[in-house]
Amino acid sequence: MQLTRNINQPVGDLFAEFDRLFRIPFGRTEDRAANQVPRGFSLYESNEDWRLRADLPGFAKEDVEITVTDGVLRIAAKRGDNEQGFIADFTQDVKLPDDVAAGQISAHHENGVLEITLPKQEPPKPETTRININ
Amino acid sequence: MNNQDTNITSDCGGGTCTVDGTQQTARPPYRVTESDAGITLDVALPGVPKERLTLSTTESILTLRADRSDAVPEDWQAHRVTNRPGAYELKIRLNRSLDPGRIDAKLENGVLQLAIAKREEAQPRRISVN
Repeated sequence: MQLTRNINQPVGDLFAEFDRLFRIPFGRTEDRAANQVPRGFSLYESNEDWRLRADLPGFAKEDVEITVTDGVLRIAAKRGDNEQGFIADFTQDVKLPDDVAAGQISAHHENGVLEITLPKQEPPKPETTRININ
Repeated sequence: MNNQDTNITSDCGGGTCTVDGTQQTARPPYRVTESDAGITLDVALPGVPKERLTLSTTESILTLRADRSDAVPEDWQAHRVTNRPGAYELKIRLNRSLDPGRIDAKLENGVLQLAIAKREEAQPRRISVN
């Protein structure tokens, strides 16, 4: 089973995205019924950064690919063997809020847990241009 | 998960065993596969390092206790926390055909794999015909 999301679909803010993520019915789909368990997913915030933690039991560091494209973080996890994992291969897109420094995102994988650090930055201020009326 | 395997039974029927107010202890998902030589028990234990895992056997009861090491600092604000227990506990009763004295354990990428051998007398025996 692979869960994918069309990157071209409109996305809401980060929390709405997580809300959507958690509605993915792992617990009710036929794919999950016999072999899969719900994914552990957590989002934390400190003064300096956002932290996203995902439980990925059975996935090695090499099985996980993280990319950022136009403000969208994509986590793709695919097992290299044919054994059944506790969770299915998946691709997950997360719309990043404006205050994330996309160029400084880092990730750490240990004991089957992926932690992504999303450093904060000053969100870009909207530019206002005054138009003179002649 | 294949908890209905005839070789083992679990005494912690629900998904969560105990809650101590701050840290939830859950029964981890597990899966059993059987071969002629024994069974392989895979247990999902994300966040658990080897040092925080305890395995013991008493007669035919295999007990697993494990704590996650990825603690959350106090100054972090939790926005979403889903399916993240702080500890795991699993007690399973091994079938008489299994030998509690011959268990190999391997912990990798958040999955504990236990190979539990069958007793010699429980293994298939080839009988030659003269």
